[in-house]
Amino acid sequence: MRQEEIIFLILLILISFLGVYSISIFSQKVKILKAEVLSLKQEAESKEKYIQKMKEIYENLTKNEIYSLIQTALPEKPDYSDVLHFLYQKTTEHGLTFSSKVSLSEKPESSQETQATSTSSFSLKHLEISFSVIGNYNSFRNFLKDLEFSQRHFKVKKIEISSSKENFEIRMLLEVYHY
Amino acid sequence: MEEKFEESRTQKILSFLFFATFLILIFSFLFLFISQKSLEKKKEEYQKRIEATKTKEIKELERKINLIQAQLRDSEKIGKEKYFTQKLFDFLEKNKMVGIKINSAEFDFEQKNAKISAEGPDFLSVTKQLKVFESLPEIENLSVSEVSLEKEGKVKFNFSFSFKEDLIK
Repeated sequence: MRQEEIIFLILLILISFLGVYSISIFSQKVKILKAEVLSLKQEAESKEKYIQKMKEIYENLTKNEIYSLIQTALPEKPDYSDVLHFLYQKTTEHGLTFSSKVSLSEKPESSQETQATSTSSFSLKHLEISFSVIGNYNSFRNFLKDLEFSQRHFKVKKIEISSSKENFEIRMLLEVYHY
Repeated sequence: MEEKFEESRTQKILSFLFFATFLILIFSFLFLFISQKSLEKKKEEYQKRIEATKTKEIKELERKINLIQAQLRDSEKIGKEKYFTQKLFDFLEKNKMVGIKINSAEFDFEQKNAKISAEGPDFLSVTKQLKVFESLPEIENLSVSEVSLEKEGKVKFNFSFSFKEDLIK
């Protein structure tokens, strides 16, 4: 073997080593990228599955008859107008008349409720309503019945009844809920 | 002559090895390069798909479902705690004796107690009425605070009591 050939052979070996070394680094990079892509693929698929499931759940929930009931019973917003309209409609229907202003106030949450709802993004708020009506006893009983069987959850907290000459004056403290 | 032939053979082998190594390296790089490009494209595509799951619409859907979950949870709780105040009025009407008139009443349904101011035609009727209330198992802590005789002979009396939760359930 001539000296030139030996140098050529050494160069060849060197180039081979360098090439294999660079390829192994490049291959490592591609391997990492592949793992990254695989993890992204799994993430995308699981998120898409989750969204699909959520859409199905939401559709099923909205189709259920209980959905409209709970929307009325525990609405997202206080719906002051609906509450006032309901009270006005029912008192008028049963021949009762308001004898005082209707006061509405948000009641702060109790610590127990705060604890219970801390894990949820929605916490139940309480709206207290107080007012007085005048009318006869039977009208009041019918009004009370409508109130307690209404779709919106009304909680009767206090009732004060005092009789005047012919009629009764009834002071009520109610509570409704919203989020 | 033989030496020259040997030289040319070695040269040929070396050249072949050189080209073979060169080709292997080139193809390996090419393969890795194409793989890298394809993976990068896929990565971008999956990132876009993940990004698409974070839209306002999806967040709104999540919010709506959370709301329904809260509504169902709270409805169940409220339903369990729900009471009907009319039942107390039915109960009082049923147990009120003839001639006894309730003038005023205060009911606290959370504390489950009542304060009543009533009047009866005579002392005997009032005592009988109080006896009835005393004997009722639904009524607890009956307390008479005032009994007064009116000019017309009527007897006014004030009393309070607490009632069992079952009465209004």
